[in-house]
Amino acid sequence: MLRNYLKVAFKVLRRRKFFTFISLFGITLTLAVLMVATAMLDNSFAAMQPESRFDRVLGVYVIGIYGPTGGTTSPPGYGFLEKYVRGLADAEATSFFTGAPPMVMYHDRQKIETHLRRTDGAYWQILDFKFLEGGPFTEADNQNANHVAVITDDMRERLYGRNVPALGKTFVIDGQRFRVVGVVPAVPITRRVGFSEIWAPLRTAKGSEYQKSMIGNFNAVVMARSKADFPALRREFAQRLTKFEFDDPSPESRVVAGLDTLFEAAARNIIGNQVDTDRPMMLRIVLLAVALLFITLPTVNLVSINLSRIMERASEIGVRKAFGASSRSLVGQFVMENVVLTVIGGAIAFAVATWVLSIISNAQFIPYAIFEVNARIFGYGMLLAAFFGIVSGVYPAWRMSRMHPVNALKGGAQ
Amino acid sequence: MIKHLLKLVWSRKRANALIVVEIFFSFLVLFAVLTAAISFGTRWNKPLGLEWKNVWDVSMEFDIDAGEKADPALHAAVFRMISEAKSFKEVAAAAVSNTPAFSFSTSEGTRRINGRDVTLKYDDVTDGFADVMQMKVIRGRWFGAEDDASTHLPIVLAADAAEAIYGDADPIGQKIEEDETTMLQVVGVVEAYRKDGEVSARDNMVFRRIAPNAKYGRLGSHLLVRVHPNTPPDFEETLAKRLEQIVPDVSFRVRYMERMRTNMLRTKLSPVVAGGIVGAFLIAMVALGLTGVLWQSVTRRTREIGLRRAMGASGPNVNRQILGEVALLATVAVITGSLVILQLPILGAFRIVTPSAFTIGFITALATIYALTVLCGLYPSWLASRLQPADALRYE
Repeated sequence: MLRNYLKVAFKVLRRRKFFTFISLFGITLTLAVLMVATAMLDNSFAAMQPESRFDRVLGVYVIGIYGPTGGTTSPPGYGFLEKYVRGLADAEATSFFTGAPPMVMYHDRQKIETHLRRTDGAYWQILDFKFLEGGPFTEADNQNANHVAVITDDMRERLYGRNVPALGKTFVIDGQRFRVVGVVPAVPITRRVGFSEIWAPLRTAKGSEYQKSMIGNFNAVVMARSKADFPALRREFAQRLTKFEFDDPSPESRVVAGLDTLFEAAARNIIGNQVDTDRPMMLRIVLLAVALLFITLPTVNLVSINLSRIMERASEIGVRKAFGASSRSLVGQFVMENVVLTVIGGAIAFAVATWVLSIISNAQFIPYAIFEVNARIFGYGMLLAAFFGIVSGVYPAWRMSRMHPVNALKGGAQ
Repeated sequence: MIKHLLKLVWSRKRANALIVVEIFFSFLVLFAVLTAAISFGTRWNKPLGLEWKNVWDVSMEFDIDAGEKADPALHAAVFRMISEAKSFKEVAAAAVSNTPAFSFSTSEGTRRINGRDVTLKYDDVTDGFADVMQMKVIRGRWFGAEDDASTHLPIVLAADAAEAIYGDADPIGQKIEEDETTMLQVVGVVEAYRKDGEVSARDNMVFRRIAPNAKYGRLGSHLLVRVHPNTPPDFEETLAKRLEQIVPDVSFRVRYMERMRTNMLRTKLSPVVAGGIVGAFLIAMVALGLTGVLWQSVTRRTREIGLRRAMGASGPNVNRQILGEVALLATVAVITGSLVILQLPILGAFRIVTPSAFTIGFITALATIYALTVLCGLYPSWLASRLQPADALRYE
């Protein structure tokens, strides 16, 4: 039965090549755009190296302190983290680190633009770096404010030359001289926690004012033993925040912060920290709405092409009906044909998306980001294709199956 | 004629409804893409009111919250950095700014002045800023030492801000209330200053003075340096080292404004270009689909067309009929689309695009959609007009 449908489907596709081309063009375009978008989102949120353990990691990326006359939404300060995040009962490891702001250094009369992140020892346990040379600095290095650093292979090349061993060599950044203790592969800038080009111990930071501040330029990540500990961690953090000490307490004063997964952090950022609803759900709905809006035009287009194609096949349908084919089997056949078409389109779209992503990666619009389509994206893509095929096939199929056999035999209803 | 066409279109309403929906969405897509392209296109060639070549931005890492006074020692150190930078022969001018051009940081607010709500962007600058950015004063004067004793906070308006607040009246000497304790007083007007460069819409910039004696003004964290053309890159390291000695506790970095501009243009234009490409493909897809559907419908209506030919309609007559039907469908879609688009100004579209870009975008989209649908109908209608009455009637 299924094989028969497939055979008919291919015959039909070959019969009117212009129509097949139009349909495929639309399907390919639509699915390719969706696949590129999916691959880019996936690249930012999936647990990928060096954030491969992030399925059991939560972070504090943004906090808000609000009072009667407005407030501040910003990354937390070191003082806040030390007071409210350090030592949560269910945490296996806790790390504090700065953002990775752009920096400039001068090396051998060369200007080098780079990024510097200051971290503690636990950072290297939570993140999963594959060291090319040496290893991470330790918590003892951090406590003693030793001027040691981990750099990326890309940084090594710019500082010392391609594949020149860098261990023990030094460089000056931000007026401080650091000694290289480890080299790791370059990390895409889209990795919120893993990205940097140079990592140095937190305690080497200039000044000491930062240690007290509630608002600043710090982030924290907390690794749980498993995902099952997330609710307990969040409960304890919320509990601690109820004792938050405001500068000028008033009934309207409140502090908003949470332990977030990467997706939740993005939702907090996009939907807004002060919104009290389920932010990740809202972000999902927004993304879905955008995708549906985009898919509307191609769907209408495909439906109208499909509709005119069936009318052309009115006599075939008439014969099948006259010989007793049920409406249901006709609908099944037609939806099947359409799904075959969209899956072919999906396969082409997959190739196109790979190509477009390689252009985006090579142009380095986003530094060090290598966008790739993997098995998961391919799975999403095929799901999308099947969904698209069914949505655009059902209405024409229903119209077709309702056609009266006599009319159909005469060449279609007027 | 039109009544007759309406009847024909109505009798095939279900198939036609889909075509109308398609044209409707295409019209919206075209409008969005064209309006974005036109508003960026018209902005592109307007004067910038600033000169970004040979400017370096030394951004320092200290934060001063709004309204908060900087530590006097820091204030003095920053002014020492300006004079230190100026002492190099490579440096033509130096100044401090809080939210420099192309920097992605903006200080913006809407306030009620003379009964009108005006959205203004602010920057806090020192006296050398006009020389660094090579701005032209068109009325009054730029800041100078004579402002040191001023009881009010002196400001210079960009021409667009002056126009937004005072219309044609003379702004020089006018006062604006900043908060309970501070009054702003206009001392001059400069040419419209486009903070984000070529992609900037109307910025309405207001420059507030940072007084050297720390009497008023909010310290900025960017030291802007204009170097002479062809300054060797080595000088950057020399400058950075010298500044580091003045404030060893502050981290800073040097960027070329040229690079910041490239970055800004790329960030602002990438979504427009990507949207344009996707939009163009969508329209191409619809055009192909429409051609296919019309072709198919002409084939299906062979008998009807044959009958018309047999009753004496000429080829061009049939041609006109088919194209007329297509144009009618497009009209229905365009009217619906226009009803949607005309709601946009009520929802505040004019805060994003100018009324003229909106209108031109609308008219271009309208013209394009008609041209496109008629183009799609050309081949099918030509096919129909070529039908021989005898062949057409025999077809069944």
